[in-house]
Amino acid sequence: MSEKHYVIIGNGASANRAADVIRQGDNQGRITLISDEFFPFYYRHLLCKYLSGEEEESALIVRPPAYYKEMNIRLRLGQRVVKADLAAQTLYLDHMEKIHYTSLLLCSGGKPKIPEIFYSCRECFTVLKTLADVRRLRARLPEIEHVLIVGGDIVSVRFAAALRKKDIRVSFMVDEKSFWPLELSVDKKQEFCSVIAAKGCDIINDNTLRHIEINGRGYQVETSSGMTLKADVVGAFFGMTPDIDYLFGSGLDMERGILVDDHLKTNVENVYAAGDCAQVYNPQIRNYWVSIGWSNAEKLGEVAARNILGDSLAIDQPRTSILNYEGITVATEWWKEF
Amino acid sequence: MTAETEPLLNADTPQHLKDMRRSGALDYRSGELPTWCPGCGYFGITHAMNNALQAVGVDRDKLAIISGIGCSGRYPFFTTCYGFHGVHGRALTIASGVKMAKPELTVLAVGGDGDGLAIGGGHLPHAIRRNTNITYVLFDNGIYGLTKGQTSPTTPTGQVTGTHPYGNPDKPLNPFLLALSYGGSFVATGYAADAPGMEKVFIEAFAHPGFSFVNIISPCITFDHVNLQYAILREKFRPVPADHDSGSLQAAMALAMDGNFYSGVLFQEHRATWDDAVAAMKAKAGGN
Amino acid sequence: MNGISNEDMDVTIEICGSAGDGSIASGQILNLAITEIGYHVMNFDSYPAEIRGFGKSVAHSRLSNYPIHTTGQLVDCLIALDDPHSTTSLATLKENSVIIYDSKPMDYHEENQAIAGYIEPGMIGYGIPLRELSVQAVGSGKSRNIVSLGAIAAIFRIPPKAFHSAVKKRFGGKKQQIIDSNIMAFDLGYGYAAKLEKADAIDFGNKMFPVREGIKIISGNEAVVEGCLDAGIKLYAGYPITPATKILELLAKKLPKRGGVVAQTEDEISAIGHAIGGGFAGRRCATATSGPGLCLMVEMLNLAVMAEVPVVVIDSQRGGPSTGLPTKTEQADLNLAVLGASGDSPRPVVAPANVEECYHLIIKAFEIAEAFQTPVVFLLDFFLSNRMEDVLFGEVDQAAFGCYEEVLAEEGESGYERFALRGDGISPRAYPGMKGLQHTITGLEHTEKGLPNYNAENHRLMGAKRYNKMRKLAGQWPEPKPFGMEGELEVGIIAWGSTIGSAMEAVENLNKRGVKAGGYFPRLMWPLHEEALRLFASRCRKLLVVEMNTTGQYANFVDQTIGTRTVRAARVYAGPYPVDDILAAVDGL
Repeated sequence: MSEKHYVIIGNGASANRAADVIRQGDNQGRITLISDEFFPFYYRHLLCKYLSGEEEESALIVRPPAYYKEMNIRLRLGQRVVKADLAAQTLYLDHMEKIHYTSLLLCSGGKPKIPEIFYSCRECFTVLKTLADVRRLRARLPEIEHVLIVGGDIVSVRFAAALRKKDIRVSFMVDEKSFWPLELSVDKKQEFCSVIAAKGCDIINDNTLRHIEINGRGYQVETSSGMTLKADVVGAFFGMTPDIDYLFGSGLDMERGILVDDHLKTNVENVYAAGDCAQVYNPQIRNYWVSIGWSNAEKLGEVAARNILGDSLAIDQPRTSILNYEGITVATEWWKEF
Repeated sequence: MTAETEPLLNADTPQHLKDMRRSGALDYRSGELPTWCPGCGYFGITHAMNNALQAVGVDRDKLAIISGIGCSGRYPFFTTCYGFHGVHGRALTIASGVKMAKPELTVLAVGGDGDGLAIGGGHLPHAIRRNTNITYVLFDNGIYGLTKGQTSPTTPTGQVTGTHPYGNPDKPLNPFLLALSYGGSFVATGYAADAPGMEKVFIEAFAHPGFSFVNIISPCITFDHVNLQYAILREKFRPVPADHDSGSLQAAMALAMDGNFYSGVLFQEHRATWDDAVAAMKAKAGGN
Repeated sequence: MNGISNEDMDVTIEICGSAGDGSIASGQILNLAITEIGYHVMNFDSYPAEIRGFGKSVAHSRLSNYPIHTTGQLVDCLIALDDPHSTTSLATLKENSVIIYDSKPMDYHEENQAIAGYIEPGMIGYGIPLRELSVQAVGSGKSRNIVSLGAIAAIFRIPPKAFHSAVKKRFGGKKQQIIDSNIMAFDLGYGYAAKLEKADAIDFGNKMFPVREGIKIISGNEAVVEGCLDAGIKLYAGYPITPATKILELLAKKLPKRGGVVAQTEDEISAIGHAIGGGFAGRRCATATSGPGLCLMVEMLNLAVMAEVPVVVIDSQRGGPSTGLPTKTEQADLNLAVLGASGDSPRPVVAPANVEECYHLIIKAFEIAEAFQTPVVFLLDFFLSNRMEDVLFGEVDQAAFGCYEEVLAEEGESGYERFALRGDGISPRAYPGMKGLQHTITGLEHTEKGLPNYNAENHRLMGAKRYNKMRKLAGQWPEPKPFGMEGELEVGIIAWGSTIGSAMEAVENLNKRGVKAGGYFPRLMWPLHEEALRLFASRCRKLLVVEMNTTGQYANFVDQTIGTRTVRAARVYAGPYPVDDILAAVDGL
């Protein structure tokens, strides 16, 4: 099969950017994007506005399906890779189909982290990573009175604000240790708490989650200090971890994420990684970096795509950009840890 | 017209004519004057056929005669019957349908050598296979007469005709061999100028249970001056040998191929007819 | 009729597999089951082109609780028994359709061969371990088709006992063990799917409607056969040709039980020859063929016109010209049926609109052939021949197609003239077996007595006679019932044969939208009802003729007869005429 088949696992910022660049550089080759989400490429940062009702679904979509048809990019939505046989350059999908690639780019992004101690009751948590997650919660909003947010990563602030806009009581159990991605200084924590308090959220200080169980249509929570709380929804915002379970045993070098060099190549021929699932080697510090944020993901996707096409671009020095989360400014740059 | 009412019977009428008038065979004539040339062999065939119909006692209300196109095609008009002058080459299909739909009828199919062996040639084997209880008389004059003298499937090689001014290039068919190899259960022959011989054959044909094929050699005096001539045939025709085994296919084929003109039954066997098959089908199907 | 539900159920299901997967059989079970609980069904199966093995077969059934007229264009649910074949059925799936697929096939599919790989957002895919459950029930994967029925029964909430009964019916005559294991296969599929989270909107609510006694699921060809039998046909002659072969085979089985006779002839010319012979003999006889066969039969048809012999010739139309598309439907034989002949050769041509009419109209065809002493050409098409509908054969609806008596001569009458000229063109008939009415008929032009005659005046009189008979028929045949809105119309749609179904749905759709539309749907294709046509045309601002041929064959007859200039929506589809295309044609007016 002399035909090139570029397969990209993921449908987020890095995946789509990479697809565009590859198509620009190669008019003939087949390009397939595989995503386990049913929805087309959407703006993740608008999810909160969708939750609060300020935006509708149609505003979230970055580009219509017609775009992909025009660019001759095959979209496989709602399909999941369950196994990768990298030696045979073949991927196995969960609906019993196998796909052969000539170049593979892993952009599977991150999935919500649930701390190990809570793994056994993970079903009690509500995570809000995908549009499907938010859609489900949005449908239930009319019957929800109280949401408890546990963990409190940077994104949780936006969700809290959205819930407050719907007049839902929000409690925050802030756990410094599981706060992410910032390493909270006392000032930052102060800033954080004052912002969320200003939104009308209750702050439960100096408490961590001990136990959670189902209680009627909601949940009952026990804290470290012995407090008992009831909530209709317990939101878990413990940060993200790379979504790479399907690659275990494939022969790729992985840590928390997929290890790549500064050209975004993995240890396996023709396999690259970009975006939130990758740990990028920086020769200057002789260590791995991780990237956060939309624009960084785009940049990584672009570099990976270029290199797939035959270029030899090294990733830039980490850049800094300022993000604003409801008044909390965060300088995003290359982080060493997830 | 009947023997009683015929005014021309008088003492001077020759005996054989009186006998003929009294026999009732003339009742099978329709009264329409044939359109054939005076001297045509078809008159003889008609005469012998009417005698045979009379001898067998066929009910004229139940007599159906189907013809094709050709001089022979006009035949039904001259007989008191329910006649169907159809299109070229398809008489056997219509006759077959008539008999299958109303088995109580006596069905006679007639046609010429062009009608039966050229355009209609594809129907003969299947009519034979089906073995319906009909009689098919082929008026073989070795030429297309009605259309004025073209080559037919039984015209000898080399004969000059309207379509072959330099002589017929094709080998003629042997209708007897065809009928025999198709599996005809009754294959007989006659000569148009031999009325008694034909009458005998026709009677046997009607009696035979199954498809009866009778090929009558008949001169066309207008368009054939070289092949079938009364003067020649008179000498050539002989009855089928007395020792001929009409139950032997080989013997029948041998007779058909030996170059002689025979009059009589070449082959006859009794095998399952269409009616037998229908009865068996009905029995297997159950019901009424 | 039903209509007890306040919701209109209208669901189209396709079961797609490779030959041998049993998609057709499961379609039949589905049809039986759904009619058991009082629903309507319209079904059309597609078979592989090759005789053995490869190629896909698709059972396509539209289920409803109100009368429907077409098999539906878009599909609500696709059951994929063989993924690679099913991927080609994706094009007709609705946006929010359901796909049932085998979640545990023997092995991984190659790229793009898995149907689940094509599930678009909005579609709902239910993965059922069809093969595994089949193995559990019957020891092999061959009852996956039955397992899938269990799955949809659970998901769509159709009472399972309807399927149990249908399985028993469909496998009746087989060993009890086979019936039991298939019911188990159904139950396993049902049990598995019942636990799934329902994500689609198709819901039969486990409702059952009263069953109409005597209902049959039957195809157009089968209905024609029943009609021939009930009409008392004595001889059927036929030659195998798609799509008419089934008629020959079914009559070969059934006609002997009813005292009739079937002959497989050596060709189509012989077939019609036999039928004409039988008609001449005074019995009801018929033959069926398709376009290429009708071409061969034209000469004999012409003979029957000239000799005034009754016979019924059935043409199930398929794609042409010549050998054409033997397994695809078309309506392009109208010209051949009406005009095919040398000389001026008039004969009635009728075309039923649906399966029920196939039954009623074929009986009428025999009556008309006898009463008007003529061949009658009965037109259906591949689609209608093979389409199954639930039908109740009640009393023949005499009013719908008129009543016709044959005129026979008096036995023993002297000086009988078979073709005696009378005002209406019909001469009292005599046939073999009747007393003293002997005559010979011929394909030559003839006198009243039937003798060949080439006189010009006689020829004109006889020609006029043959046309007068047709005029009389047109006068006696009831006009088509008006369809759609009354009074002045924005658009009038004329359609015939199986296309009437699509046109009816188009008119209903337009009326719902507030567009004043109506339909003129003739069953007597020729002669045309001039008055009725004129009246209809006068009500319409625009006149659209919809038919499945390229030149607008019926449109030509309409324009010719009443001097209109209709708009032609004449197209070939190798399939039924899509309702959407009719609507698009209307929009384009």
